[in-house]
Amino acid sequence: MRRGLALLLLLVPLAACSGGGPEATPQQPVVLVSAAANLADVLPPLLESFRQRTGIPAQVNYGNTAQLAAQIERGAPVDLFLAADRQHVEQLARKGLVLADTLCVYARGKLVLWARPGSGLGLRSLEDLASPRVGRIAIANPDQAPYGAAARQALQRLGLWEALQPRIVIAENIQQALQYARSGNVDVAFTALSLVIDEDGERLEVPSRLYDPIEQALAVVKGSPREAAARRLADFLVGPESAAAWQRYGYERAGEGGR
Amino acid sequence: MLAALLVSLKVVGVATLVIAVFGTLLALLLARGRFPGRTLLELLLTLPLVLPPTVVGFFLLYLLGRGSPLREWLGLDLLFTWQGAAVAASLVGLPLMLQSARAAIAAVDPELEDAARTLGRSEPEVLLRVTLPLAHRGILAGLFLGTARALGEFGATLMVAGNIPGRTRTLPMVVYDAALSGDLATAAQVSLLLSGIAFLALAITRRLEQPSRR
Amino acid sequence: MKMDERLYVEIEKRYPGFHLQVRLSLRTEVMVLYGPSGAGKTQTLRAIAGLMRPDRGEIRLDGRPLFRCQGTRATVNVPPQGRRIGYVFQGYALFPHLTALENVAFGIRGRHRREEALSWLRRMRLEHVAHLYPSQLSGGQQQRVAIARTLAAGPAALLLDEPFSALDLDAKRRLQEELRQLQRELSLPVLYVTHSLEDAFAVGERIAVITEGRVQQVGALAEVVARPANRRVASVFGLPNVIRARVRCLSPEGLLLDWDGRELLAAPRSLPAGAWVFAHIRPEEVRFIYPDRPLSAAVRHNRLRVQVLEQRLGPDFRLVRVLTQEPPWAELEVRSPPSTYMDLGIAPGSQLEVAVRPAGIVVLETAEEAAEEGGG
Repeated sequence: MRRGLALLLLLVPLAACSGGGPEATPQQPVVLVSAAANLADVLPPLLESFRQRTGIPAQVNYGNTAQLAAQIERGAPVDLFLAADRQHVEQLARKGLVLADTLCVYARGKLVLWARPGSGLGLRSLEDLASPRVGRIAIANPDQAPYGAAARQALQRLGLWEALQPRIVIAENIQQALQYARSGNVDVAFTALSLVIDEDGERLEVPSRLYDPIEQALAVVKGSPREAAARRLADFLVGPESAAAWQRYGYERAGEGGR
Repeated sequence: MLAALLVSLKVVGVATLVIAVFGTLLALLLARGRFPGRTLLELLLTLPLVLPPTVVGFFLLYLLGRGSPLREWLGLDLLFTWQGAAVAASLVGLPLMLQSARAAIAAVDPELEDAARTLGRSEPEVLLRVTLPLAHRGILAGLFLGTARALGEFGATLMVAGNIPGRTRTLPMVVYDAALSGDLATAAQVSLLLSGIAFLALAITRRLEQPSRR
Repeated sequence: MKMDERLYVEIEKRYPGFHLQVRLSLRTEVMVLYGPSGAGKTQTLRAIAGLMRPDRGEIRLDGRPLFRCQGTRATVNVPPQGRRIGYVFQGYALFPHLTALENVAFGIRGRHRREEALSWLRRMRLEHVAHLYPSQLSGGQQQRVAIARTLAAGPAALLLDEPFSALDLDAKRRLQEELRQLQRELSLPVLYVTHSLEDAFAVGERIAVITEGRVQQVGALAEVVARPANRRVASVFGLPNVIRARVRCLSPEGLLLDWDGRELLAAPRSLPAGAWVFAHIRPEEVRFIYPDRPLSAAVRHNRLRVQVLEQRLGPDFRLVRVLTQEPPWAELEVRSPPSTYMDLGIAPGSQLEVAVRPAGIVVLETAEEAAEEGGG
């Protein structure tokens, strides 16, 4: 009985101490970035590069854009928001939760169709999806994910959306859609080029005229104690120093931005 | 992965404490207390068990985020911290603990407690020397169940604490991330670890639920 | 308050469909609280122990108020922990997770708890099971541990709820004797609840009869049984038609009794002339006499003129209460199958005659010589 009590008391100080991760020092604050899930491949090298240049470390919180926006709205201690679309960032700007002058498009996503290696589908164009040898097709939730909306748009413009309905599987996000295709649960998935750029498999770029550009915007969150550092990172991410990395991972740079 | 293990340990450690203390107190209240609104309280406390984790997460986001009284009055900013994750984990583990503990306490014959009173023991003594010892198996079983659940908590934690490697990324999140990015080896490893722990917890719970032969 | 009064109880509590109104005064004695199940016995005990709170009333132990809630006087409600009233529960209520020794020591305070507990166990001849758990003890042993535990806490009064109902006759008798001994040694007022008349006789000095939430009669055991104050008390004893009579002599035909001047022929029994006895006139053996028919063997003896007081018809019985129209002016119950006496015209007020078969008058036990037994 008494031993139990002592054990409990020991755990209290443990509870009070704060978490791990890169230690923030007074001189070198850690910038916290909330980033859309599809940036999981391109961000780490970019952030490492940034840290080497400036000495500023950064941490990333990945998630789906809507969720990340909700978190920021409720006061999550995020410094920089990298969304998978524009509208969520613009919404936050309208609510005064991000610094409007930092809002700009940092990349344009490219929509691709992907099937895993050895699937032998031999897709040459989107119309091939109508063929009976293609089974299930995964797309990210079109109501929530910009890539999903783009996929739907493309299929609609080709008049294929209705016909393919019974074969379409809705995934939570493009990563999950990709996962379905990787595991063979679906035959083919609409996903972001950046996610499959280094992966084997059959790949077909969806012609950009078929969908509205997927503009991914960023902004510095208002009230962040690390605003200066966040601004520097934002500049870096849209500036020339990062151009090569973006391209390497399958993103287009924004020709014009809101800078 | 080691970082995630540490985060999970911290989160579960605190969650276990919270569940143990609050779970026992609330179970006592629900099992023995008579007050208006008792049923309502019981229902509210059981909700996290049946609600989808994202709903719980949203609720917590509002509870812990900007504009919430908790934040303003107590100055507690728990968003995106492992302590916030611990809160989420406690919340989903608590109902499981309550079910078991409450039943165990209610099963203690009130006549035994009355006997203790007539023998001159004060209410706290009755609690500590009769009620809790006789209910301890059910309480412990509930605690193990609740802790196992807390360990596996994912959806609500994601909302409240985010998925920040080294800071709030827990083991279940590692599985999720690894599976999505095609790193099946890591996903399998961690899944195995989590399953093993859960299995152990359930086995212990089962042992505790067997009536002992005294 | 009387000088030798130890425990005074006057409580009232209303439940839906039940009204408990009890008034009791105990000396240093064993008083039996007797009544059918549902009469309010256990509730009374719980109120005295402090486990139930009456709506109003007063409970005093050795002059000290334990509960008071009436009118303008200050309210008192001492919690059970502070009342020093021992309670032996019907199911023993032994703590299953503690040994016999630990159970007995539970209510003892101080540094020498274990030694004291051990000496109590020794007193009850239980020291050899001190380290066993209740589940490993026999019913009788459990009961003794329960009593030891209650007494070890040093109570100033003792309540027992059907304490020996689950034991066999042997064990029961022994424990009842031990209880009386302990009560005398410790000079405790003891309230003993039971619904068995046998137990009441074995243990008690005075009896309080309770039915439907009210104490109907209090008095010396023999007295109350012999002279039930009312019908409820009589029927609660399960014995209607209990009479007190004196033996005249044993004749070849049966036992001749003198019932307040009236001669009765009862079933034969060897008893000395002049002895006082309680006898039971079995309601089934009381027959109405058809005035215009020849007398059969069944109705030749023990004829009495009676007046019908009331009649009750049940699914398989007819119950008639009559009043003898001669000394001792007693009420009797007559029980018969429902189809009988249809043409006799039994109605309240009817003047009829009954006869009782000698075999239907049975001597229960000897009574003490004449009146004045205990106060009440």
